[in-house]
Amino acid sequence: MNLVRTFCLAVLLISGFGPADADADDHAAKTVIGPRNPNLADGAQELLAGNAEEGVRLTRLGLDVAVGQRERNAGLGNMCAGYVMLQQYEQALEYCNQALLENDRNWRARSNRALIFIKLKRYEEAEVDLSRGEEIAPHAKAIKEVRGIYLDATEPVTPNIEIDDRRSEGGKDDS
Amino acid sequence: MTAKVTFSLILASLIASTAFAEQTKFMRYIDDETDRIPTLTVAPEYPRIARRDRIEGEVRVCYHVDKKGRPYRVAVRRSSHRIFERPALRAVKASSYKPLEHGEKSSGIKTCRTFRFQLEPVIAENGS
Repeated sequence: MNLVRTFCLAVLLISGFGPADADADDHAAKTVIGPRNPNLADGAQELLAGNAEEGVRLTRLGLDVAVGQRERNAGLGNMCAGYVMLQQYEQALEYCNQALLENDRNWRARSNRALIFIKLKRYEEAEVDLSRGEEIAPHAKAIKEVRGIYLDATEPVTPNIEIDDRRSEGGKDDS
Repeated sequence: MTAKVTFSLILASLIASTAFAEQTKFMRYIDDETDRIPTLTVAPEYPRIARRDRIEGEVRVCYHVDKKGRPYRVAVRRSSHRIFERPALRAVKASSYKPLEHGEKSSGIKTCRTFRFQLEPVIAENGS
């Protein structure tokens, strides 16, 4: 279970306190939860620390009293991420769907949903979310990671390194 | 020469099957025309980001080998992508050659080694 959480934390996008990611292109997707909603903020911290159960519990409490679209959207996205960490993908999907219904440009939720689709082997839907996420935030590292997971699932490869000690290549001598 | 190549092949296979068993599934060693006998050929790690982003490429590294068989003045001669340069340099620096025996002299010829980083598709068991 710990391994799953560690893996998920590496690619999941959780909206927390800190400054928004520098690689985020979309202003609307940048989320900073203030002290106005401590449960939402504490929930995000728990999720970032890998404590999925507590993170989901606190985030749910925060979501119940969320004010404004930004706060609500961050809460929904974090609920989605928390359920992914708990490997409850169907529930995670519901929250990601809600987050995206309310904000189509939430690339974090889109990246998380792509990961869920990969887990559920729904690769075509994952591809759609990844492509859209790449459009919104082309330099986001998390999306690149999920793209890598997608490729590993759909077109797996194995690294092969060839070592060639021949002095010359095509008649040219290097020495 | 045959014995030298065979020894290198065994050594290369051994390294490939142990140290990089998880990262690199297969390593091929081609020929050896250098005047020094490799005693340890270290394969570079395939960079994680390159694997993730499906980047392939090659790096040619040239160097001298000192009396004790250690590579020095190691430099990239040519590379298709910078991401592969550091692992290639590191692999060469960690490799070694048979030391010169008493009275033996090095030819002074620069040795070059090309690393080809490739990603082979994994064939599913059903052949698809």
